[in-house]
Amino acid sequence: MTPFWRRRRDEDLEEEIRTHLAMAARDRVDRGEPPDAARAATHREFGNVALTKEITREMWGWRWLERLVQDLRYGVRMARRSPGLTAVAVLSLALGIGVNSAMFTVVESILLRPLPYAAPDRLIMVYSVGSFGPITFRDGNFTEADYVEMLKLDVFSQLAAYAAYPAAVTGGGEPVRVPRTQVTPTFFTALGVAPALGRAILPSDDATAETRAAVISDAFWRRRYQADPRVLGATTVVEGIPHVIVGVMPASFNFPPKTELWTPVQIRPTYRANTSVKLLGRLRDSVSPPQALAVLQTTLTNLARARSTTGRVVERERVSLVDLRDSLVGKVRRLLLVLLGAVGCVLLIACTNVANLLLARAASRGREMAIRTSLGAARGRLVRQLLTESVLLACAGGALGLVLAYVTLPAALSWLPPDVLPRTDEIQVNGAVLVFTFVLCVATGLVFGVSPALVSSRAQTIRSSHQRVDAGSPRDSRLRGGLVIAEVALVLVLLVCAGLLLKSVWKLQHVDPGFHPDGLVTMNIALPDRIYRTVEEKRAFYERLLDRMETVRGAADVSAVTFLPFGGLLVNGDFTIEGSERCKPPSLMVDKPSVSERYFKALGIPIVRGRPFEPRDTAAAPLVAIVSETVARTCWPGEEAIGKRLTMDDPSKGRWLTVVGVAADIRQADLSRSPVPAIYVPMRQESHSFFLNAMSFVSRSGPNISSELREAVRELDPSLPVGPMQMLDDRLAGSIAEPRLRAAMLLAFGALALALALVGIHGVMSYEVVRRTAEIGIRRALGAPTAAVLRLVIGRTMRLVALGAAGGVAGALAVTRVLRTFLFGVEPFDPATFASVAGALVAVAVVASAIPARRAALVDPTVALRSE
Amino acid sequence: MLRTPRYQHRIELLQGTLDLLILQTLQWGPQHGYGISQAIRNTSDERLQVDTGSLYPALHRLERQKWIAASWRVSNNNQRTRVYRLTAAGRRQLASERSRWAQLSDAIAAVLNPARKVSDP
Repeated sequence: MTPFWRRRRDEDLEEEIRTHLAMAARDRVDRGEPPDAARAATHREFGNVALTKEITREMWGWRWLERLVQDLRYGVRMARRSPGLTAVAVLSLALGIGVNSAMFTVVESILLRPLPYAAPDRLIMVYSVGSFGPITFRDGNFTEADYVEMLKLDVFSQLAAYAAYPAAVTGGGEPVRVPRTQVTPTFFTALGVAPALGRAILPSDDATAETRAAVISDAFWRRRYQADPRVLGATTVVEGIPHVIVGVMPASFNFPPKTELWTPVQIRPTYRANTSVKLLGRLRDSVSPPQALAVLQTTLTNLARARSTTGRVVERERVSLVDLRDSLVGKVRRLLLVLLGAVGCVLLIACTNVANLLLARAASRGREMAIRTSLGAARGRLVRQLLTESVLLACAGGALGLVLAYVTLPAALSWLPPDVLPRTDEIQVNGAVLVFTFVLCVATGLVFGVSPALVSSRAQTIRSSHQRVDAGSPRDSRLRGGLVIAEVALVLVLLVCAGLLLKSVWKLQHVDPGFHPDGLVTMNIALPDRIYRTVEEKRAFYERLLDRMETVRGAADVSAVTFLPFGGLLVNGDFTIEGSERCKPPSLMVDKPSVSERYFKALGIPIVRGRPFEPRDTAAAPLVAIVSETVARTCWPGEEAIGKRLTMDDPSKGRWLTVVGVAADIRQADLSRSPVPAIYVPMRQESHSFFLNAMSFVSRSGPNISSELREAVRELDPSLPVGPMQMLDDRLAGSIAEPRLRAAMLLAFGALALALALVGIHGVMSYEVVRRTAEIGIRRALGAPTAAVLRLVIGRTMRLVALGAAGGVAGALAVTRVLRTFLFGVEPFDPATFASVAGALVAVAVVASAIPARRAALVDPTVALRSE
Repeated sequence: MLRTPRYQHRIELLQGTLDLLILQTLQWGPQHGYGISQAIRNTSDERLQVDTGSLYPALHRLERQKWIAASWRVSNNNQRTRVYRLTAAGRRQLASERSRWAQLSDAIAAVLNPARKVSDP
């Protein structure tokens, strides 16, 4: 079998040499020699024809390719000759390479791939860094006036401002609340993305007009308008204001993430009261980020100096510039890199397994190698051929792994909790992944192939074809032992990491939030200012809604609260206690929920002292408040809080609230953080429209009444969107979705690694038993009891695993600190986790070696001795 | 695949000179492999016998370097022969090889006869 491109040349060379011989022979005949003798002499003179051809062919320059083809063909033949071994190796590698391909696909799509915008590397987020009372913030907003000032700078070719708040969309279908972003006309031009249909927001679109412009997302267009292209020009009502749909964005456009509606934002050049806009800029090509930062910083400092800062203004002390991609994905970088490391470990374990398999086979191929060496094959040539075989195995595994990754990745992604990973819609296998996988295959093949190749090719020249060749020398046994140790160490590192994360999740799940979330269904209602203009109207609506919901069969303890714990929004504010300027020390920021009377009962928040709110606490009655224990303890240490007075307004207004009760502390947003102090006010006495714009309603009941609750809202105001009803305990669980995901992923990879390692350990021990059959037979014949034979095998396993565990503990100690930010309630060096994982691993490894040990114990001395 | 080191050495040893001899021979006109070996043998008064095991690899290597070009011709007694001829690049190579050979043989001669060199001036 010769490659097609070679056949012609081979024939030519053949003929050339034939002609040479013929001419030489004829010359001899011409000189008078007899033809037979002439032919023989010519051949003698010419020498080894085959060898000459071989060397001549080398001059053609593609020998390496031919050798590769030859080696590959040989590799395929070898693989087919031992299908069992090949299957196990390919499967191991498929798992190892498959998880790596999948993980790399995720990493590539999220961390490496440029954003789908024009020249995305010039896009940056401009953030403010500063403080708000005692709270410091990064990634902060700017005021509209700041934006106008920054527009005057020439560091950006485009600078856009936007503000993302959900909005109610009514008219033309079910009222819904959608993620809406109000944007400047420069928003779309800065990103360099044009709508798929219609036009973007233009400077001529007035943000204060009676009828405004709106651009909708592809998803919203399909969902609400059934992808009707005649949607352009249709009117929809956003927060009570008519908007004309002027454009539909392409499906790939997803910024800010999840936005479904873009409308013009109002920019008031002198408005400084609130930092309401985020800034997104496109840097000029001539401006570097540090230059831009310097210019912006100077501008901000000058602005701050020019403005007299008094009272409760937000201090924007610094500017920070963050690459747009980093602003989207920076949060998950560490997690993804940790996971990439984990799958790397899995692959290393798979490599170790396959190396072990090949080492075992090296012993059985000792004769083959010895014969080839005797026939003059150079060691380098043998090593190259064996490595080709390994790479071939790896590529077969990689191809299967890629298929596995391709098939399982969408399923795995759909199983992911929402919002944990950004850019998930962009995750797909692409050319970069294919290249990565191929390189990984070759590297893998070389890594696991190198030691078996060196061992195999070391086989010595044999003197007779009957000589027994044993590659299972003590040196190889040590090598195999070393591989087992490495395997155990890698698995231990992975499992310790998984263990630490699991323990964190367990601790998080057992944090007492301070209330009982089970069986509580929640629902959010937001009242548009245009329709519900006054505080009184809003309060009246909520009261009517509470009364109406009470009548729903199965609903109990219906109550309302401004900011629901774990509702996704937590607003902190300050307050003043009577008799001192502020609550000191330090000036305390509190959660200020307005609640209906039965709120404490519904959530099961204990009123430690005093009383809950009661029907008598009407708008006309004396103003009251309930403080959390932390507030009581901090503001009135050693005193009774009940009866004290405080105000959330400017003290000069004289709106003093009397503390009538002290409620237990609860955690509002994050189980891993300590409770935020809270001051509760009765909804009926709430005087700030801000705290009444949106309310969450809670009802102690099953989820099966959600349609009745929806109906109750529709009865009172059919234009009000009702968000998805969620059980409060689901919201709580959702708050720890990310830690759970981390733990689950690492556990999955750890389990995979463990399974591979067990297969590997079992394989090595089985092989050792087979190799030592004769020795065991002699021991048995000399009267060794079964227990001693078992001890022999299990003892060796124990020694290897113990060494591996020691190495693993050392490795884990070095590695777990990168997890520190992911841990809760557990130290990176948690001895309990280390000990239990190591213990479990040793136990499991012993079980894995029990089967070969039992086989060893059953060795029949006579059979064993005959096997030599 | 099985290659003894001996053969390899012989090629390397002969490489430079054999190339030169082949190029020089082809200067007088196109010739086939057997003809080249005979020509070298005859012009060297039978002192140089080209080993065919080295000749063909050398021819194919020179061809790959585009110093000589090959074509099939039918000889007088109706036999297809592969005939090599010198290319323009080969002619230039021959010139440079020749001058290098001259320098080398001068130098070797000087090393072998140091006395003469000293007494010369």
